[in-house]
Amino acid sequence: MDKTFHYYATYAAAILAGYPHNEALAVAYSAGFVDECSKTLLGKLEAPVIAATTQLQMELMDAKTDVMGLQDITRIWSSFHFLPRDLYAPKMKHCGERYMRKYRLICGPNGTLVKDTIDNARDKSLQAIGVSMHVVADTWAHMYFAGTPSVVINNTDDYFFEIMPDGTENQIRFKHSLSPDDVEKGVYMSSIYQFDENSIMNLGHGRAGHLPDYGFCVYKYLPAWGGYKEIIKDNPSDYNHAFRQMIYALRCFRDDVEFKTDIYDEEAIKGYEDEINAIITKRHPTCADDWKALGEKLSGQTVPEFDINTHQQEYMDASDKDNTFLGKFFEAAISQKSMVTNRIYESGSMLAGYSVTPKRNMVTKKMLDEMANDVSKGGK
Amino acid sequence: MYNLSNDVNSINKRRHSNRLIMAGRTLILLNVWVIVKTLIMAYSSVTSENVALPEYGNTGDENTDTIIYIAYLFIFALFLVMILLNVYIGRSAIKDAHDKKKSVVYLIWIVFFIILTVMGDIRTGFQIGEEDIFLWISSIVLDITMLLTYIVIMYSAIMKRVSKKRINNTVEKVEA
Repeated sequence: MDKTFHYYATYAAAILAGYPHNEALAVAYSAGFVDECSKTLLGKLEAPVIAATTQLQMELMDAKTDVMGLQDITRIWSSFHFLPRDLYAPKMKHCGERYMRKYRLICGPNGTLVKDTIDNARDKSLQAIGVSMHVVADTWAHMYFAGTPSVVINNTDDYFFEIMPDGTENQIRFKHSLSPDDVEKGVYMSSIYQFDENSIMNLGHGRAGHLPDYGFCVYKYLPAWGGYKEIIKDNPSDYNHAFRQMIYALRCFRDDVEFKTDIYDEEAIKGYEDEINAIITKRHPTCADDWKALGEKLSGQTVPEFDINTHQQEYMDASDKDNTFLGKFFEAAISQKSMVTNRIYESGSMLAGYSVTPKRNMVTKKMLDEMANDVSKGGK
Repeated sequence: MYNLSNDVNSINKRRHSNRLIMAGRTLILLNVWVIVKTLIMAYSSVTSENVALPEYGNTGDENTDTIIYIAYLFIFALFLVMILLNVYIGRSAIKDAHDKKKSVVYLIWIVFFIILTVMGDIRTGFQIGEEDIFLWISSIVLDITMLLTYIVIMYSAIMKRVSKKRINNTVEKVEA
């Protein structure tokens, strides 16, 4: 999803799910901040770099693609932007184990990890909820791509067609310059083809450019893992599903109800379906103004522009950084990353590196805080 | 809601088209290597004792020198034609993959080159001396690669047409 969806659409979803304005803002800001929290920013804030939820282009250019470097990249991208759908996908014929490990990282909605993500954020901060909303939304947008550099999984070729509303097919052309995408002419930017399996150019949906992040786009293409089968990516439908699932998940958090996959909230969205659909299908790279207007209409309050600097000073000035807005965000990010890395490791894959499985009787920080409170109140 | 062409014949057509593109590009690159190799050999003056190459201008007889000069030009022209034909085959394969070429003339040239390559290697193998055996082996390796590329182009071009015909037959049956 693009950044505007993560911020403004999450805000709208939170309002529809019954959250008050301030809480919805906190959730939405956290969802949007997942795309900003890089090691560079964390270094500036003197925050733990393990909390990184994204990598800037310059960081990726300098990223090493040795074993450790690849594990670091996979940890970040698979945890927050390309949540694997099925880590235990059955082995296919004529496919080696090395290929299957990468195949099993392919992102998709309604996998078991989506439920784990929601459960991991339960009873935690609004920031944790926001992080989980970003992850859930991206499972729909970034479907069919993996959060690890892999040409055999993430590569595409020039067999790329946009399916227009009237059914005609227009060939999409990819260019490798930094000029903006030309939606009308069907010319989009994508990463350069690199035959090296572990090249950064083959990370995520780089080879398809920003197409997965455009809500209006319906396209068909041949993914490298598809065995020459056409895949249709219906972004309007997927974005609608993502929005409804986000509302449902937010309601589960608020009402303390168990989250189940493949369920979408249709009640809260009644009366707004056409408006939401119009925003999603608008042929424009970004629909920030439209989502913002919808959010303000729903809440009756002004939604501030997303500003990466909003909570930074608070964090830098605080003595108790863990209880600041960004401190809670970092804790949520570390928790999400640990959970996903652990799941990938437990599935038998070393692509995200080692992970220690927490023991049931392990003492957590929360338990320590509670014990400290008891002692201070005179308890044993 | 959307029409996907994921029947066996469509998948095979795409698979063979992709192979045609890869093999066509491979052929063009191999010929680039042939040019580079020939230039290297020419500059390092690697010649076989069994094949005498008279030097231009050293025979003492003007007529002989002229004939040698013409012979060199002819060999160079032949070399250029062979390279250009291979490039033509490679480009035709790529165009065929994109359904932009209907003629199969390039397939006939492939047959010609397969025969030429095999005969040339066999003949050289009989004539080569012991001291040049490694040179012959390294040349054979490249020739085998070229042969395989020709075979892949031919096979993929034929199978692509077979798949396309089956798709058209299926469409006609459905329409009927």
